[in-house]
Amino acid sequence: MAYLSKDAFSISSDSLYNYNNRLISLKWNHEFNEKNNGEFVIANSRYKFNIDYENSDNDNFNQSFQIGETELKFKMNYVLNNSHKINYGISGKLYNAYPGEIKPIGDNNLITPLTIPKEKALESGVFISDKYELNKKLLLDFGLRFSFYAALGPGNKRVYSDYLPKSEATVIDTLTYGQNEVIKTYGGPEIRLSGRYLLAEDLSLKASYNNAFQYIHTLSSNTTVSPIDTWKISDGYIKPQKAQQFSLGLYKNFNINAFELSIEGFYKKQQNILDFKTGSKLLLNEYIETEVLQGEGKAYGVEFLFKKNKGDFTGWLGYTFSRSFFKLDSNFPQERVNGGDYFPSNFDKPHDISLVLNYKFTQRISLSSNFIYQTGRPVTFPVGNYQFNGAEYVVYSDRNQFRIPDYYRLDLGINFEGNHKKNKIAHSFWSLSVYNILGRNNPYSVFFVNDDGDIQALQSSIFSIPVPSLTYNIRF
Amino acid sequence: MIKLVFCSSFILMVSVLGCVVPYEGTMGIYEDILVVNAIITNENKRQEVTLTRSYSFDEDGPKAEINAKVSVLTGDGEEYQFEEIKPGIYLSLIAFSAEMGKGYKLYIITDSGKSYSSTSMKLPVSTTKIDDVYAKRIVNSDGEDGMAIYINSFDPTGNSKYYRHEFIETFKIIAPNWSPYDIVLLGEGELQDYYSIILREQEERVCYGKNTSKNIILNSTISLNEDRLKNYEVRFINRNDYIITYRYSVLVRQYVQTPETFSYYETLKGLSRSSDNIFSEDQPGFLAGNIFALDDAKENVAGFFEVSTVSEKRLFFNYEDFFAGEELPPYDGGCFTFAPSAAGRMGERELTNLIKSGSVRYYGYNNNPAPNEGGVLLTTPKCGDCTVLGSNKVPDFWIE
Repeated sequence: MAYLSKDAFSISSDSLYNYNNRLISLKWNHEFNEKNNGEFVIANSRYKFNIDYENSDNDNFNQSFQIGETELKFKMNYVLNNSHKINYGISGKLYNAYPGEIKPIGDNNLITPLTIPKEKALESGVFISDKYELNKKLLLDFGLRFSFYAALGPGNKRVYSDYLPKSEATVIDTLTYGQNEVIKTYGGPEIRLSGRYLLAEDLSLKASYNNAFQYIHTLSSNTTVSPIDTWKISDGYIKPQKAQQFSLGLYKNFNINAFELSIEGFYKKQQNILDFKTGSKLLLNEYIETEVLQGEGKAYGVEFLFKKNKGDFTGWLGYTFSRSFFKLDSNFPQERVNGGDYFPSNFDKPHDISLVLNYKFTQRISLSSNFIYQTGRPVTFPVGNYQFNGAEYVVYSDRNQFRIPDYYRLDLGINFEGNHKKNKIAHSFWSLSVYNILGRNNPYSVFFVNDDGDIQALQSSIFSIPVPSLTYNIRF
Repeated sequence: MIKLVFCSSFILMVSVLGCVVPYEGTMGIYEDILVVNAIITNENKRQEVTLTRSYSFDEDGPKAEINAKVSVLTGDGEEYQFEEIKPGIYLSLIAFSAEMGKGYKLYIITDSGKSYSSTSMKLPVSTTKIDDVYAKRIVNSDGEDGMAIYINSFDPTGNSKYYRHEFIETFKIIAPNWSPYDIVLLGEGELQDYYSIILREQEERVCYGKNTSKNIILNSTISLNEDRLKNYEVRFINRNDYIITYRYSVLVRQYVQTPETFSYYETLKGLSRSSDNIFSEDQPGFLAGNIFALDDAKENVAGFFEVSTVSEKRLFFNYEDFFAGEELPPYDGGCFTFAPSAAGRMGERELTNLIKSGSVRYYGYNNNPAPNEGGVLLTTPKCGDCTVLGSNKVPDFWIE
């Protein structure tokens, strides 16, 4: 299977974002005998984005970031008997990250070109799992995986003084690593336990527990103009994230699947989540260990879902209440964020409502609608000025103390199907839809630009006006 | 059976898909925070603590925190009380200097009864001082021609490591359109207004301007082989800046800081960076210093209680030493003269109205007036009176 996409969008008139995704995978299945079959997968994926900024003569630039993964996986499926279905295997993944590059465009340019050195790592794992059908009512799934991770050279890694927060000013040495030399290793066991119990024919209870290591971190920020998330792979200073999650859910079908109702809750604890220090530079950090902190996270929530699957009127209503908190504490008081207490993370979204309604007027004409409502993202605001040593500075609130306006959006669409003759070569349908028909200018992010002491509050939004689209689909 | 879904999309997009506009929502409310600016050094003097409050964006400057009780306590139990000499400015009752090895804590009780304390701060273990301060004419990396001020400092024990520099510059100003005389309005009449030329009473030709460093100047020698600052540039002045026109002096102060103090200033500097464009953002958030509210652990207190060693050195130079024979820099913003007319009806005479407004100074006679010009030449206050930009009192340290 192969997938290639290339997209571009613009948030302000002077910049163009390009991102592309490439994914190739090959899978080979082999049946050894009735009870044993194996599959072998090779996959490669690469995500790349870049920004072209052209505003004035002397600071135009092209900034890019790329991350690629190559994975090899070998999995065996073994049907032990009617009750136990076991699978086991081994996998390996090679990460190649290019954390960032900035190139000036044109002559007379004040931008200094910078390339952050490439990073490489190898993650591998062995796993075994068992789907155990105890009886007609109870199904258990147990999985165990050991994962190993090694950050590899070539690279130059700094050593910092232990008595101070890491910064340019506290470097005491630099170590050089050769091609594929191991810089740091991590690893540990990962467990997955889940069960489903049929309380009645149409009522089931599901519960699960799992713990996982994540060796690649998303560095996202809610104070930049654009959705620039970059990824950082674990290394000598950045430890892998660990998470443990519990979930419990109740599911009921009515009238032979005409209606579905479910309620599900979860609780998650995380260690080593990665976030920025106060005052740190958000992009193109050559030595990111000087700009980030690792801390703890916790999240919990309840999701309610009601679905109607049959009839002219179909659709679903979902409501999720969830909270997500981070805690960034440190031995150094200057590094502590919000006093080392839990605060809402960039992803904290207490209320999330989603309503999808489809109505079939006739055999060929149908209406679809989609309504979304979400609590606004947390934001840090400047709350005043102060004077210190004869100069004026801006006072900011605690991180993520406030929220930007709530997000809501309504999309509507009408579908016209071609005739339903049975033996047509291809079936086709037209679809006319309007995205964001209410035209709400939902801010994506609110951020501040410091123009020599004068603070300006700006907001960026995507698709702030209704966007109509006309689609023609062929199925054959 | 193969089931392929092939989609072809023809999307009509209307105008701009995304945009950056000024923020339309409500902003965080103004937070009233105590700001502490306190530096205790090894200089034997009445040490100073300044207390102010944060101010909203509409206001021009801070309100002082008045009537507070301020004291500094050492680990040995010594106490230094402070008295308020000007609103928000507190000086220690007696002169003292911070001593090596002792821990110092700042205590504040505000007028409203709230208590604050700093963590215990010690002097860094160093006795370094500035070895040299000197000036050179250079062309800097931006292509500007001007004067760079450098310092040299070396600590053979290697204990200093973390430096912060400040400068206080004093420069001679000579008002280019000065005259010993001034023009005053004696009276207005139906047919004409009456003026008089009088001698000026105070010195307004030669003054001394002052400027202090605004940016945070930090450096560390931890990654170098020696604890040495060599040819370290603390200030660059463009050759067209009027402050170097005649004689310039700068006092460079070098603070050696503890790692904790240095780290606070580094973060403060990072937070206050000017953004190059909307992509060069920094993570905002409240920057905690080393002072905490004793009554409410959650209350944010801005500023820092710094205990550092300091050394200073002064430098003088003349414009002629480096720019002999070259054109003088333009006076701050440039100067010009003009001759408003005294003609017209009573109340509408330009010369009279300008004198009444106080926004002009006398320069001289207008010897060849053009048809609509008056008989005297006037100039802007800045160009005719140096006290607008400086002080006519010669500073104590000034050496010609």
